[in-house]
Amino acid sequence: MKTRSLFFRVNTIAIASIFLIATCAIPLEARTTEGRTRTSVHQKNRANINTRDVQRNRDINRNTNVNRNVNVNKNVNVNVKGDRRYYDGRHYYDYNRHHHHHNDVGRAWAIGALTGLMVGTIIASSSMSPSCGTVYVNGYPYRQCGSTWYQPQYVGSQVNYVVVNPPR
Amino acid sequence: MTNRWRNRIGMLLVSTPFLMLSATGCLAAKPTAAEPGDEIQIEPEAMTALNEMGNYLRTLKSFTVSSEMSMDEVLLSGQKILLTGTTEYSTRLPDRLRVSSKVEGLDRDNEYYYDGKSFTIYSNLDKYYATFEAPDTIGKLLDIAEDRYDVEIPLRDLFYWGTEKDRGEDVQAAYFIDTSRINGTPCKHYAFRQEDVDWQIWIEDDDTPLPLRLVITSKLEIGAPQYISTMTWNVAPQLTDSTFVFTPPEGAHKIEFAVIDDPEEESTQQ
Repeated sequence: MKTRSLFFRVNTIAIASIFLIATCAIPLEARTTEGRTRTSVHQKNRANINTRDVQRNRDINRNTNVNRNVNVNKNVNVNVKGDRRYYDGRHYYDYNRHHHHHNDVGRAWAIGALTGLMVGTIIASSSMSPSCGTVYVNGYPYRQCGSTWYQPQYVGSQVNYVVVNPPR
Repeated sequence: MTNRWRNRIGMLLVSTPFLMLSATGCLAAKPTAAEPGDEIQIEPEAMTALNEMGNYLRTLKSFTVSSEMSMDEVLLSGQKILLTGTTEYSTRLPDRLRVSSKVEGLDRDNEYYYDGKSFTIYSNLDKYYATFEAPDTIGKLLDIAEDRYDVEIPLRDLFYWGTEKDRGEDVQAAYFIDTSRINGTPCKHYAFRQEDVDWQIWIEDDDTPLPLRLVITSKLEIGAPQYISTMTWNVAPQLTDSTFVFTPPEGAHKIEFAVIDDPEEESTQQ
C-alpha cells in the first residue's frame, strides 16, 4: 500500500548487500528490506518463472530479484542524482528527484535558481496548498503557486507534486 | 513467577552481552531459529485445504469482498504505526475488477477500475486520475500494475490461488492450528511459512471454503510488520458493466504515472 521511493529501497538493498558481502556469507535475500509490509502472500515478478522444478525456481527467483535490483540501480544512476531525504513525521520524501521529463533542464535550472523551490523537488499531495490554482498547459493540469509550478503525477497509488520549470 | 520463567529471564540476562555483540555483526542477520517443538513440516491436510479453497475460488464467476484491514508501518526509528482501512472488491472473471481502498493514517482514498481494456486509478482526495492500457485478465493486470507502475492492490492472492500463478510450492511449512470463528462463521485456522513471509489463513469450514481472514508477517522486513485482512464475501452479486467503467467525476483532472524510465529496459520490453 505504502509507496516509497525506489531509490530508498535500492539504497537499503545496496547497503544491506555491501554489509552482508563484506562481513558474512548469508544469502542476500535474508537481509534485503523493501521497507514495505506485504499485502499478498504471492511475491511479485514470479509470473514468468518455470514452475516445473521447485528448487531450481528458488535459485532463479533469487537471480531475478538481484537482476531487478541492478536494473533499478541503473535507473537511479541515470535519473536521480544527489538525492536527499526529509521526513515530515510520517512520510519520507525525496529532494532533487528529477522527473524524467525535466531531467537535464531541471538540473541546469536548479543550479541557477536560488529563489523558490528547486526544480525536481517532490512534495506529497497533502503538503500542497489548496490556494495553488490548477492551470492547464498543453492539456496537463499543473498547479501554480506564485512563480513555482508543480506537476502532479501518480507514484504508485499516491499523488506527488514535482516542482518544474514554468511550462509556459 | 514460575521457575520456567525465572530460568528464561536468567538465560536472557546471561546472554545479553552476546546478543549485543551479535547485533553489530551478522549473527543478528540470521533468521530467527525455530522454537523447540516447531518442527519444520508440511501437513498434507493444510495444503489440501489451501488447494480446495483455491479450486472453489476459481469456480466463482463474480464476487464482491469487503476487507477490513490493519497494517503495520515501520518507521526508520523502528517504531511501528498501525494503519487501518477498508478495501472493497467487485470482480467478474476474467477481466473486470473494481477496487475502492481507504487507508486511515495514510491519506489514501482511491478507486481502481479495470474494464477489460484499461486500468484507471482515481484519488477521491486529490481528484486526479491516471490510466494505462491493460491486458486481458485480472492476474496479468495485477502483475503489470505492480511491476511497472508500482500500484499494489492488496490481496492479489485472491486472484492467484487456484490458478497457474498459485505458488503453493513456495510453502516450506504448513500446519492446522485450530477451529475458530470469524464473525460467527466456523473456520479452520492454518499457518504457513515461506522464505519471505509467514502467513495464516482462516478458511470457512463448510462447502464454500472461502478465506475469511488472512494474516501476513513480512519477516524479512525490519520489525516484521503484519498485514491483517478480515473478509466478508458475496459470491452472487449483481454487477453491471458500468461498475467497472471509470467516468471522470466533475472537477477530476487526468495526470500521468511517474514510471521509472530506463531506455534500455523499455526497448527490450517492446
